[in-house]
Amino acid sequence: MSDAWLERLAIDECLALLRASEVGRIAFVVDDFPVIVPVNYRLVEASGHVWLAMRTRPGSVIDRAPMNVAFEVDGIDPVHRQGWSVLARGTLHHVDPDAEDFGENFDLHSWIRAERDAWLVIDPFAITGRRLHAEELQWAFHIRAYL
Amino acid sequence: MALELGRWSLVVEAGGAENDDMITDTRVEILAADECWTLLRRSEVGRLGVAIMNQPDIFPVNYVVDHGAVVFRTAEGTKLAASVLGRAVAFEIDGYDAARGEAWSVVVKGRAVEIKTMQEVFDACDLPLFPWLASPKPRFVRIEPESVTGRRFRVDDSTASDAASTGAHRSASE
Repeated sequence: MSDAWLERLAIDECLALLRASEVGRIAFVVDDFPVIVPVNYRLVEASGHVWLAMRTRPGSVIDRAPMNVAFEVDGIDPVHRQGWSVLARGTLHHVDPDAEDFGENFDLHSWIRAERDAWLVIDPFAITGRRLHAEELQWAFHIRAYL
Repeated sequence: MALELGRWSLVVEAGGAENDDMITDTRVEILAADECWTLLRRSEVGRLGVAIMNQPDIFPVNYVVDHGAVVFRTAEGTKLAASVLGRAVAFEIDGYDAARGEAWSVVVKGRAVEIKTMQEVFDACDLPLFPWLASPKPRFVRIEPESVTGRRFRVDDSTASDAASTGAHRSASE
């Protein structure tokens, strides 16, 4: 059985998809249980490095999340049986928006600044993506894409 | 540019809503269980969150709701099968209702149990799951729900037009 219909995406394409999306899902582990939460995010790029930046409320479940996280975005169209997904694995860090170098590293002028915000970034150590094509009748996100 | 946070600017509050003190946030509507299941029956693709030691992972899967549980299919020897069987998992779907200007998400927490008896497998084979890659030993997995929670968020008007354009394919897919 061939996986040829499943296209593994190059990193540039993964980044383009991350750049174009606004909503993803972050997953982490709390007391041995996985937690998955949809979240607004931005891809932040500086000096050849990328981060996934998120804003949340201090004390929220994301603000209290442990360091190891996974992050996923997708665009899936079951009607036409095509789509893509990008998965990032990385570490979650708190950032201080009042720090002097914050504005240099993160382009935040397009974000709404609100009081009591907590800012977090995911520093990804792995980014993978795959795309499924419409001509394939046997549509599915097969797990081999992750191996 | 100032509004580029977009249609889900309240979604970050969803995480916060797990705090007791956030439940009262009037911008977040807690969905009743039957509404959560209605949304689950309408969707076809969700994201499975798993924990291996302390490392989380997310797998998009297509699924069906059967006998009050989320059922999906995997294959012997895959990372997914190894990751989920017998373990606690979180299963998430979300979507955006452009007509109502509302976004929503539903999370099922439970244990992933393999469907093992012959009758169960026969029953599962009749479910309208998309055929995954043909496998000599396909496995059906059922998430026995321990909790089902759902939230709906109002998206303010200033971001609605942006949401309509970016959310068009998403609402169709979810």
